[in-house]
Amino acid sequence: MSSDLHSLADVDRLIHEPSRSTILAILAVVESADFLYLQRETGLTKGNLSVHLSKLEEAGYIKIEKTYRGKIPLTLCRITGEGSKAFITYRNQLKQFVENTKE
Amino acid sequence: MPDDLKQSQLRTIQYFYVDGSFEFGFGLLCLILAIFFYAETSMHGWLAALVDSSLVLVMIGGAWLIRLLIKLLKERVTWPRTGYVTYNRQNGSKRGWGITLGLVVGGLVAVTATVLASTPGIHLNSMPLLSGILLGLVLVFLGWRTSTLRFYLLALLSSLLGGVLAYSPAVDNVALAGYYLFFGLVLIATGTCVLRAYLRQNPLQRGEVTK
Repeated sequence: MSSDLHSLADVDRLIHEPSRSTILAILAVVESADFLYLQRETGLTKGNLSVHLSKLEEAGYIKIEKTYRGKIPLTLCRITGEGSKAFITYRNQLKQFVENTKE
Repeated sequence: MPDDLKQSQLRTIQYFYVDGSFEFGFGLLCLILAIFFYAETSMHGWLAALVDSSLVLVMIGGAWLIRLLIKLLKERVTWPRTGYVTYNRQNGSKRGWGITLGLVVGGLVAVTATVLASTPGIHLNSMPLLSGILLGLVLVFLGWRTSTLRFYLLALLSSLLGGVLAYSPAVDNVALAGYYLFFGLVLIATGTCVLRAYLRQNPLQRGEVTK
């Protein structure tokens, strides 16, 4: 297998799912984002978003904090150091693969 | 990185400016400065000296008030509709470079405006020109960072307004007050348009609460 195909085969399958890569891409440029923002941005249903967030949290890529703003419950998500590193690696692997592929 | 991921990231960066609260805040700060500079010209003696020396306090107090206003607007309007996002503060070295670059560019513009104003045969109010170009540069930077066209247009308007008022027969501080008054009003009008568009696109859903 060529090295660029190797790089694609080695990608983190957890991040490679489009919804989860979008969630990580968003969280990579902010300090934190709430459930409503992520739901609107990804276009997922509440249930689906919850499942994806739980998977990312289990992997240690994001931290979920349940808090309140006034009397309104607020679910805040932020990327961890490990998640940030994993996302950068994933991005570089994709970039390398795209650069080495003919149109 | 695939384009849709890049777009998601860009939209998230743009999200802070999506409701026009930045223009409202910035516009109000400009109006406060317009009142300050106008008051400065109409006062004499110790009162003028007192007002003169309080510019830093006005800037700091104004900036604090505006931050409060932006937060209040977002709490009431934006976060219940489209969600809550907080942004990272730049780390030490990155922030340091940004401040250094800002100071260098600001210094260069200040020197150019002063040289132009002191050239014999040229009547020029350097302060509105300087303010127009400097605020214009800040807006160009914002436009570049967020890929938002309206900031480029506001930057152009700021520079044009500064340029026109630089050649006005009014004394320097009155022209400066005029610049901040007009530009503040332009910013507030822009903020109103952006907010209206945002509210039209994002009506409050049933079951969502404003506070």
